[in-house]
Amino acid sequence: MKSPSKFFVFLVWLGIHANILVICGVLTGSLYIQFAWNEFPCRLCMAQRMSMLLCGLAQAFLLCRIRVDRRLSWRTFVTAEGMTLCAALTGACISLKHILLHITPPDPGYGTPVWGLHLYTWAFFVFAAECVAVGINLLIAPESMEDMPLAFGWFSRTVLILFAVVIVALAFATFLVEGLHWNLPNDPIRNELLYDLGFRLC
Amino acid sequence: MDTLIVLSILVALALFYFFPKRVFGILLFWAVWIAVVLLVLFHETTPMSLNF
Repeated sequence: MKSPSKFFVFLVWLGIHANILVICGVLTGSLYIQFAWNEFPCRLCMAQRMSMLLCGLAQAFLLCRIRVDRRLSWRTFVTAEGMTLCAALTGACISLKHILLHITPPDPGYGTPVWGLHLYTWAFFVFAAECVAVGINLLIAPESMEDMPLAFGWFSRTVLILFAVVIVALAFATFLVEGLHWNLPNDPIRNELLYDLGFRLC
Repeated sequence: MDTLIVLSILVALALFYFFPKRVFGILLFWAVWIAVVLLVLFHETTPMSLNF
């Protein structure tokens, strides 16, 4: 058996962190648009956010296993990549549905475009990139990666904490729009929680 | 329901972190995934969304 390729294993390790950080960045951007531009996410937008969170969660699973084992078994790696792929494909289907809902010419689309494209179109690109990243990860991961020790230091811990903070922020933002209702409205126009609590201007 | 799903993702992350060898986190992951799929399958489009 060949000696393990340190470079490719390092790329996989780097890819796990980059994946979570990119998802955190995209979701933070969506939160910024929700609060700074006062745009409310619809149900499909929320489903896309959840799919992105699931993509990040699968990669966080890998980090958590590295924390305990200090290495990555092939079985764990393939399991996490499969989870990521399922979440990304689901998110891509939801984004496509959202795009097709607004594709006819008189329809201006949902929300304000960012750099010429609506957020659900950007979300589709993110999910497509996620699928490509899974493919590349599976392509470059050496068979003997189980023999390679992997580090779990302050950087990995910070990435996990950042991901947890983004999830909490998203839960808060969702609760604000959904309020104490079971479902989000299809076309939300206000923060239901504040409205129900008597803040009629919000 | 959406808030609960997002909070479930947080719980799954905690399960992955504190019980990485157990299967609970993975089970919760798939439960959330199925919930998201069902959420979209039963999503009803409003006339405003289908504004032809």
